[in-house]
Amino acid sequence: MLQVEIKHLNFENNNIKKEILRNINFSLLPGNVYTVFGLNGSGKTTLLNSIIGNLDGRFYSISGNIYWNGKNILSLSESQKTAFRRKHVRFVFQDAITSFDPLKKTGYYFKNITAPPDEIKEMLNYFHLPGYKTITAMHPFELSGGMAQRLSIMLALLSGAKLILLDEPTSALDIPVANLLKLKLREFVEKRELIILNVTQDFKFGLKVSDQVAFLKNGVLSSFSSTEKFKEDENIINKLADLI
Amino acid sequence: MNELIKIENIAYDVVEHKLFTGGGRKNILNKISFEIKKGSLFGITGESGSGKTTLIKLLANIYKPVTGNILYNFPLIKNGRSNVQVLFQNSEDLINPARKIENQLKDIADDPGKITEVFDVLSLNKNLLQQRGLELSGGERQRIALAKLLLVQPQVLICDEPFSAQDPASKLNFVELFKKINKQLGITIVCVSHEIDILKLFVTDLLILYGGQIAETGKAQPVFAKPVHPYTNFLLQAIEYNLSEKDLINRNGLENIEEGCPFYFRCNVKLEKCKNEVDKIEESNRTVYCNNPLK
Repeated sequence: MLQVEIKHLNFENNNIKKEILRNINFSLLPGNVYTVFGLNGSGKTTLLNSIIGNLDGRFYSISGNIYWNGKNILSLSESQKTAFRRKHVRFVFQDAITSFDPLKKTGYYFKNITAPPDEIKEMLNYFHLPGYKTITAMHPFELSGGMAQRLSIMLALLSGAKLILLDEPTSALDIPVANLLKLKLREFVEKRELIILNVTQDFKFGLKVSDQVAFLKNGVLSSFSSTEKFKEDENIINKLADLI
Repeated sequence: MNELIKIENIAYDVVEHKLFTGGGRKNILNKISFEIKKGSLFGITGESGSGKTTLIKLLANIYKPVTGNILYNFPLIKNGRSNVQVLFQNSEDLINPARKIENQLKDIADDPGKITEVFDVLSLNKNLLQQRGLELSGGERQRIALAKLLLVQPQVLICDEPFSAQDPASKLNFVELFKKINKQLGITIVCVSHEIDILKLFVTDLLILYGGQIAETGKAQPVFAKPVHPYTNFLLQAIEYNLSEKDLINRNGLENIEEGCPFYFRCNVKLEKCKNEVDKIEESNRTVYCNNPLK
């Protein structure tokens, strides 16, 4: 279980002082997909970074507590934080291609995956990626934006981590592949008891994939509510656009 | 005659250079016929690589079709400027960062009343006129670029993926803007986008491209309500996230079939003859290219 209580999150640099998030309280349970909707610059990515202690302490100050299975992440030392992230968390960045080292072949990222080879092959095929031999011999610059995003998501799912953070996972995917992603995320979250936290502007995808959704506006997060009540509404896109 | 542009059986191809096989001609568009009516909001959709951008470049007279004709029901050039204006994806680059917006707009229209009218339609603040290009935000620059095109008073405005990289609220604003431009300035709008659920909000006519050929075209409302071509149905199910794994697994559909249906490899209801020929079915409010249309 992930429990987040952020009182304030401030950014400060050269006399610029800005409050980015305030009074954020939520807890996430395994076996669910959660989605946060928000506009550009509303602090979605900063929220994800703050949860895993990934913000630069020289510029960001955070007051509050973040508990992962009862352990407070914010009180850990830097090396402990790194160890925690390595073991429990996978982050799929919006610009997925920059999360790969440009000098290493993508095969490097398959080394730590303990999943059986058959499963890896099946996943590559499922996400319309080239075969195992081809893709592990490629450098990141040979991947298209959509391929990098699919590969990044696939590696996160197979890593065995229990908390997966997705930053705009459909930004480089066309609609048919987004359909595939939705099906796979549902399958993994239910079978392997993962927590998936997704931040996006893609309302349709967010509503279809999630169990619970919340809205981030001016640094304040609404409480999470079930997607059931949104499903029947014809005019939902217009209404949601007003909420953020 | 109320059709503004009539496209008659056009095709477009490019020469492909390949090191060992020598390359050859690659078909981008094939057997395209349709017409754009005056005053319509015409939507064009399809996936990446289906030929959307090539089609609008042909419509704007930037490329010439290899075979077939495009007939315009108006003079193509007016006062030295094209009567078909295109808002490209990187439209912000139309604005000179160093010059005042007012001077840039006056290059096109001397009449300040005209500028005021366009600014009113686009809900732009008049203070922007005194600013320089680099002082504007990305969104403002995009709107000024649009104002620049509208000052030409074109017959047709073509927009290439105007909704990409915008948040949902700005997308809805743009939809309202298109409706206003169409109604108040009487400009026919052709909008190319892969976001079908946004097109659904405003277009009156729709054309669906697949693999360089038309799958289905007609009045938007009946097409959205009851798709007849299997690909249209696939797209409409995809935006609702209703597809199953079975529908999605075989995506190698963009093979270059010259005669038959390009959707052959992905189609669930294909017939043997789809490989070699496609029937054209003309109904009162739509045209479908399919041998085994959905009932």
